[in-house]
Amino acid sequence: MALTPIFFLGLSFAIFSLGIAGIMSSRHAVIMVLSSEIGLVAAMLLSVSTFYFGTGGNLLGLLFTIWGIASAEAMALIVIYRYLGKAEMDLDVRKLSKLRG
Amino acid sequence: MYVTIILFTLLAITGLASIIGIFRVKDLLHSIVLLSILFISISLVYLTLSQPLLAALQLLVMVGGVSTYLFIGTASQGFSRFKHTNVALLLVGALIIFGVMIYPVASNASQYSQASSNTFSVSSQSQFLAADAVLFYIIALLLFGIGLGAIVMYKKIGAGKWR
Repeated sequence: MALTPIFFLGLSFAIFSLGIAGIMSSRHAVIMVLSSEIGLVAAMLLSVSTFYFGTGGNLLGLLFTIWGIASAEAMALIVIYRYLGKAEMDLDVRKLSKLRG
Repeated sequence: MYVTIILFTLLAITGLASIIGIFRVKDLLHSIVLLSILFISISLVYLTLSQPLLAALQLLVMVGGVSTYLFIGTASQGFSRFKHTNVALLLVGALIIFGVMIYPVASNASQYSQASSNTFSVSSQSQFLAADAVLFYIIALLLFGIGLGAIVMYKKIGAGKWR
């Protein structure tokens, strides 16, 4: 018995579904950003396994795009967390509607 | 052959458990440590696919870059002041999404097993842990431990004594 694509598909689908469900079920802005990072990791795993089992192609461009999105998200999170944390906000997304205006 | 399957299973369990832990713990810094463990386990999964370069790049970018940003962002004021995740809703939603995604794959599972038998026989399975990659991982884990230790010392000793 060898490692078939089903293993990697199943793992990446499980990680991706946990990430999306985390965005749905969480109230904290930081946890929501962490959930989207989990989804990006699952996308990377799926693309690498498809590259390995499929016909190949140029993978690094796609991976660098996803890495860039992930690091940009993390930097945006720092800005949100530091400035809203200093302003004694709770980062509860249900209360973020008060930020309007 | 079985070593890769056992390693893959261990890594999958580690990754999924660390994801559940992200939503369970109350300290955001612990969530980010668990997210880093997920990144490390995913980069080790790349090694089971015989891709040491991608594994090293994943380790550099995600653990070295993204986790460091997140550590810096949440190191000083970590705790969530409210219960942030409904874990039951998380698990139910994840099961529904996973079922919807895996159903078309599982109904055509025989095609995927045929696709694997073409590629794995010619790939270098036995060299999935190259010597350079092991060195790289040892150095990366040492640096990760140094970073965590620095944060723990900073929290234990306190910033006030150094001023």
